[in-house]
Amino acid sequence: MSAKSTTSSPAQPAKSQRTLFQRIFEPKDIKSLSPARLVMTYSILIFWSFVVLFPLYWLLVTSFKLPIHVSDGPVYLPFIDFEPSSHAWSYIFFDLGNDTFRPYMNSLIIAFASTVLAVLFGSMAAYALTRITYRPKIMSIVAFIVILAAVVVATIAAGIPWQIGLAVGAALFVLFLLNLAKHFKRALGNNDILFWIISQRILPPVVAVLPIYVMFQQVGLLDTHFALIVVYMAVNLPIVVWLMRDFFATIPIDLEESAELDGASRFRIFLTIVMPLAKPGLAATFLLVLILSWNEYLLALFLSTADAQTMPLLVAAQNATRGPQWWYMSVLIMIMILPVIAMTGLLQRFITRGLLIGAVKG
Amino acid sequence: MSSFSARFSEWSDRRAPTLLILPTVLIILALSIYPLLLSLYLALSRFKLVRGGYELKFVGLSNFKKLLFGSQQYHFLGTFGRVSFLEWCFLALIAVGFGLWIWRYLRSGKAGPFGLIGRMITATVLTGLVLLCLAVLNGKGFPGSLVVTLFYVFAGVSIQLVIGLGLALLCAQRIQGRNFFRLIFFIPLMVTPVGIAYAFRMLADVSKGPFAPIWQWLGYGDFAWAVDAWSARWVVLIGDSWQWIPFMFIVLLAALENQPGEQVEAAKMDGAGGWQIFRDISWPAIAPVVATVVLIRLIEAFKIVDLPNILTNGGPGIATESMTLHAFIAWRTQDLGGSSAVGYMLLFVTVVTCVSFFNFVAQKTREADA
Amino acid sequence: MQVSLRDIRKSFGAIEVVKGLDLDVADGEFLVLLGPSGCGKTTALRMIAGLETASAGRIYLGEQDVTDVLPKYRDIAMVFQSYALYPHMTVEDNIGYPLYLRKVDKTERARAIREVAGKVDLLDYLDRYPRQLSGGQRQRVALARAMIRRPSLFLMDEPLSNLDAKLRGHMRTELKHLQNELGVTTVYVTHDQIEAMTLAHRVAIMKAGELQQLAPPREIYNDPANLFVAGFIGSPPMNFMNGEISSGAFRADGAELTCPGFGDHANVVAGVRAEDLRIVEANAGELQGTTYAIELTGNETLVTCQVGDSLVIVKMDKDYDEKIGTAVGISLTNQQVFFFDAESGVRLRPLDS
Repeated sequence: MSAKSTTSSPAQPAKSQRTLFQRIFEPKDIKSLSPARLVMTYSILIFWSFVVLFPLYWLLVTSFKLPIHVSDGPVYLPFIDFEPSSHAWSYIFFDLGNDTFRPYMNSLIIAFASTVLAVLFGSMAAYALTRITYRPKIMSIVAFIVILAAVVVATIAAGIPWQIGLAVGAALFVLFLLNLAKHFKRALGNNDILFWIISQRILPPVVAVLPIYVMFQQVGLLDTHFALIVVYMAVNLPIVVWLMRDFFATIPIDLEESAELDGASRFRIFLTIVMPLAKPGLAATFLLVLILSWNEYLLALFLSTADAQTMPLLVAAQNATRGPQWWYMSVLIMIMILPVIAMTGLLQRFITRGLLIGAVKG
Repeated sequence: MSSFSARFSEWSDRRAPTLLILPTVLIILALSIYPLLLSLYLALSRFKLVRGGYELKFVGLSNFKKLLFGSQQYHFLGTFGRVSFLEWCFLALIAVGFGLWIWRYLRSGKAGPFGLIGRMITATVLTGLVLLCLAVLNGKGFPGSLVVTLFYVFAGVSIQLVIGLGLALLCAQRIQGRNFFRLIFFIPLMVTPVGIAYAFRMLADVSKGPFAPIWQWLGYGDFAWAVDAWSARWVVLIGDSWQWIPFMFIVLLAALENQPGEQVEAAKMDGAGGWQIFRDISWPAIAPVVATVVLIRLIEAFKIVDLPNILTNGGPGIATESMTLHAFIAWRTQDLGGSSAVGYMLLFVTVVTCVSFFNFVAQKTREADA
Repeated sequence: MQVSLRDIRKSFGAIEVVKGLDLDVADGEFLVLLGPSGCGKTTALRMIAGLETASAGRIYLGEQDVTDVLPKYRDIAMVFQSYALYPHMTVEDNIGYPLYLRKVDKTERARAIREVAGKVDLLDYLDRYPRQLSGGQRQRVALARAMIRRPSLFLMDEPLSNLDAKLRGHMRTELKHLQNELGVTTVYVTHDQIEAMTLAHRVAIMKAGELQQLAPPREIYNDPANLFVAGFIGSPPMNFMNGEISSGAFRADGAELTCPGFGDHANVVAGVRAEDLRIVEANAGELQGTTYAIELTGNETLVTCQVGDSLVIVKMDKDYDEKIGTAVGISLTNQQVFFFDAESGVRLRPLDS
């Protein structure tokens, strides 16, 4: 108690007169931290940097090790503990050659294509939901679900070909919209649609992927780029809509109204006014979704086997084929994560912003 | 021709509201809603390969029965041990707590039928899950994929929140190099989970990994963590946390940096210490953000599959199997019905947990904030 | 082009913000919609533009009923309060955007841009971005963009309110000159009475969604239709005193004004402008009071006097000075006194006229 009262009393001793205790545990001025706190802060932060970086460092050095450097117990420092060798790198790049490059190209194509499409469609929907009022009738939605369920039962249980089932279902629904929908009044609003889209993210992919597997099998699309592109696009759409909505909401509506008076159509406003102004948000969302697609594992596991195999699958397959041949695995992991880490370093502000838009604003 | 393009642009402008949102709606209907319904049908059927294709036979709830009471019970729910008297008391305490919670809701004067039903579902499911955990986690019991998933979700999210928040608080101080740490701490989030799994398998190797000398010095030189159920689960959890702590950290740091500095300065003038400032000013300011990140993590954590599959292959036995992995393994053995049933159970648990959290926790923090 | 509004109404939910507006704007006229914030003037303007749909009533541009026509087919240009310049386009692209949308070819577009840019003194800034311009320059870009396609109607929503006072005066002059030169019908929304008085051919004063008076500025000033208009127009605002009229004279505490021809009325507000009053010796003049505050504004002195329980402002020349608290008399220099019913605010007029 006495110590506290001296510290908070207005007659605090001048700097030179501070006791040793005060000099260690109290800050010099209000803008800085006490030495004790500074030491503690930096020790923890540096320790955590080590925790973060060490696994990556270990992957890197392991990729330059010979088998003997691994099997005889750990060696840590290249050139000091052991002589680095590029044998694993040359094996993966030259001996395996196409077996490495093909999945790499697959991953690039699938990740970029699905991201472009997800960002395009997601932005369109997000823009529409910030600027246009929708009033979908509850009964139309109920009718749709009923028809869809009927189609599912008809195609699977009654053995009707899926093309016919789908066509009849679509026709029934259009008939309903044209003839019966006007009799119902109760409707939902934009926020309900938004919630519906975003809530798709709760759906565990494993629930959806089995039927998708069956669907693609029926139309012969298994193990193709197309299958993975559309599925990745679908799972990332909710993220895009969620992140872009807040970005579009910050664009002054005056700009769009002015363009509208000048004679621009909705699509032109969207493409020439709104999208250029949302560039920072688009970049952030694009990078985030790109990395998610690049790293995706489970869906690829179900939907691709050979031709469309992606990098995560190739890396994962090492488990079975090579046992603990860690030097090869390390090379594969390195070539998968190095571009991402480089990008993270360069564009971290962008990506962080992408993460923050949604989370901080809620 | 030009009149056609003019007519088209006129038409597209008039139909713009529909055209803008239609792709998203169609994609979600085709690749989320339709599969969801189809999956329900699969969960109620038995899948059999026959000559030239396959055959689906409607079997009602038998797939679910198998998971909950039948041959797959050990795999999904786990093997039950005997619940001790003390544990029954603990369970009763929880049940009474939920009872009081619902009672207070009824007395609040704002009660409605939907709110009541929702709260009863939350209370029932959570009490049931606690009972399940008690039953499988003691004595002779052995947890199945449901409890293992819950362990990954709840232990994982708690650990990630505590460490992430702690690091964010340290980094939010006036220190040099904040941006450097922010950049470094961010990296794991971008690393592919498959790579993380292998990296942690190497790191955790007691004879060839980098920490082998330490293990040997401690006398654990020939300890095989992958053979022990709990050490295997913890390795999975550590790998998962390594990846996701950065997410908590980066968002919470931004929230802390966003809080108005004047409030903190005013509190300092009033003589508040570090802990008091955190409790009275920072925490209320960031609570809605904390609720949001926890919700996001809950949603994503239930989907965990990459790490257990590659780190431990679900083993030893089924010790580290998450529900998604369970569904995948069932699918690989051609048991599409069983696989869908596990998927549906996962969906049910996820939805109940996340919706409960959103309605009863996240919304509260937001109301308090407003 | 002529603009006509017929009983236009607009509700947002249960709140009706425009309550039956009838308005005719003649071809080439500069009409100002004036009123305090929230009076529905901006909503009325946006309905003319087509950015809001009218809940009821019809809107005509020329002979054509445009009530349900999309904004882009109305041939209207609008200058927004925020200017609504596209931040990612240069000045040149901003000005040329309406022509670009109309697929005007490049050389013709460049010529038109240079022509309007010359009119508003922007030729040296064509390749800058809006963020590199000052407030006044941005304002001129917005004007140029509205002018370039020679619309049949200009709409302006408080275009000068984001400028500082000096620049505002300058742009006001420019605007009036340009409108006169182009001869395009203009509807201009503002809450600033000086802007309204200086720019308008006719002013429409609105309050709470209703039109109060529609007249040329001079008439609005000299012959206000009701208490609201009288109080809203003029700086310093008109002086008001509560009292009663009986047997041809208005009486209030410290005031007695003759008003021949007015019938007896119990609850009356008398209004008189500061420039129609003079300070005279105590006990002389129609009003008696004490000085309350004396403010020199430069070319004149505003003397506030306490008369009964109201404050009366008198405009004196710049040399006038007096101690605060001195008893003075105030006399009318001419008989410009307006009388209003205190409850309804309706102007009272002599019975015989």
